[in-house]
Amino acid sequence: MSILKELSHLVSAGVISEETAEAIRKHYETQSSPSTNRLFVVFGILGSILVGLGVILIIAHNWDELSRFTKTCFAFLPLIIGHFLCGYTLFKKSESTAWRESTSAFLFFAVGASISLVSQIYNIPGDLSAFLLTWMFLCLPIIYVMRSSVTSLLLLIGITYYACEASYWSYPGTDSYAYWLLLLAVLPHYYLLLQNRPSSNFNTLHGWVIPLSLTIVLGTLSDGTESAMFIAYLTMFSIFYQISKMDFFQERQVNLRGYNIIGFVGAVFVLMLMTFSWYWEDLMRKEPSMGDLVASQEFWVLCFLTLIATLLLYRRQKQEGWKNILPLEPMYLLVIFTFFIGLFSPIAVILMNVLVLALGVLTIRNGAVRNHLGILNLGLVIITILIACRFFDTDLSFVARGLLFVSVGIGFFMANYLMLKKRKQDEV
Amino acid sequence: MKSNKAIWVFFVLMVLAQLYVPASMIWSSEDVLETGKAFKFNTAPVDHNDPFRGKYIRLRYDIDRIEIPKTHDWKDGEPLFVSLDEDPEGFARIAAVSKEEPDNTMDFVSAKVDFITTSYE
Repeated sequence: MSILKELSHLVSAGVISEETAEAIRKHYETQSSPSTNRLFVVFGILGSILVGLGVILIIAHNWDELSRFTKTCFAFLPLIIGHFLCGYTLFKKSESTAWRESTSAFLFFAVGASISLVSQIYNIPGDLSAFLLTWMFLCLPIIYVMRSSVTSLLLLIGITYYACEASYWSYPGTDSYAYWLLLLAVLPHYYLLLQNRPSSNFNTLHGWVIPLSLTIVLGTLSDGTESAMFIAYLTMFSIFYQISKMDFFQERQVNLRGYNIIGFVGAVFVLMLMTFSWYWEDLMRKEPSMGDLVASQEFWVLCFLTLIATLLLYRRQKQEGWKNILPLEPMYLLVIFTFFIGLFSPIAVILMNVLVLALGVLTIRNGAVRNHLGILNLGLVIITILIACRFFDTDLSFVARGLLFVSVGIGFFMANYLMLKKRKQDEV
Repeated sequence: MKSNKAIWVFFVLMVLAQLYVPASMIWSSEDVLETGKAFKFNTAPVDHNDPFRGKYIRLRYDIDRIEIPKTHDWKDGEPLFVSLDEDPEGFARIAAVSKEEPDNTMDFVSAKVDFITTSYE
């Protein structure tokens, strides 16, 4: 540790006394070094994931020359080794994160290897999604019995794969409601992880994997009324962003960059898509009646998400006031309103563009009020993207478009310059 | 100590479940191999490679399609039962398809409608 090397210099320079130096040395000796421990966890997990994947690959080779009985015995071999390792960990090493995580990761792959090997030996047909689902259900208990966050992450990835396989990649697509069930089943572990080890790296990873998985899978709930799904996505991204600002996480200093970035980028992306005229023309052409809309699955998904988002927003507004809330967060409410106008009138597309422009301006203003250069530039970025999108689908002349870009560019310089100038004045 | 015991109980249950699933797959397959009837199919093999199942051969069957009346209520992806008998050369032949499990003594396999096309000949 570098501070220990510095101690002698500090003593000779007279900054600290010999006793203090000794006390510091003692303090670091008694503490087990956390960095090597963490390294041990990481290598343990990586090692067992590699071994597990290796076993799957070895198994994937068809061992034609072996008899069916021998092959069947081998099918159980990784599984039984995994069970022994996990049992030993529970018995002897239950306090060691490295042992728990690496043996669990191995068992996770061993379960998958066994099922697929048996299917292979007996030529059991069956689709990939059913196999993945069985595998994931069987591995769910590992998370709680072994208190394993790696298994939780692997399971989240596995159920996402399952949902894509079942709903997006197979024809005819089937519902993948089991995804939501398994996701709910993982959440208690996530909650305990946040509660007990808030600064753990696993929290950071969950903070990326959960919103990414939801972003991928939400679309599987769509059945025919895709236009409502856009708004469901927008609302979900708003929820992600609000989660990243929740006091429950802030107090625990959890790294929530995943929710934050996915929420913000996702929301801006959806908003930009909705400023294109094809979205509204499509909506008008299909003309879903109110009855159809209310009967559709998307409508209820949207209702549910809106309810959550609004509850979060209400709480945040009460605690922090509108000043600290990004204009992007309540945006979904206005978009829902615009959507219903869009069912009847083509004016909605213009309204939508005005909304996004207003969002950019308000974000710039928000950044100026809070003296926050980052937010100010986010606002400018929103306006720039909006103009870039209109660059492609409007009939404005090149000169007009050019002037537009030049003025936004000047806007960037001016806004940043004025903000920095204001800061300097405040300092003086 | 009490929670420790509970963990062990859950651990044993988990181990049993994880062993049961592959074992039951083996058992039902062994059952078919022991008591089932063997059919011969005309096939064309297609080579495949898959991260989970490895190098395997996928068989395309000669009798993987059947003509149905113009008016029908079949849907893509619907489960169905295919009753089989043998042609004079000893190869399997589709005797009938039905939505309900056939209760007669004929051999049958359960399957799924892949897709339905209309020909205009």
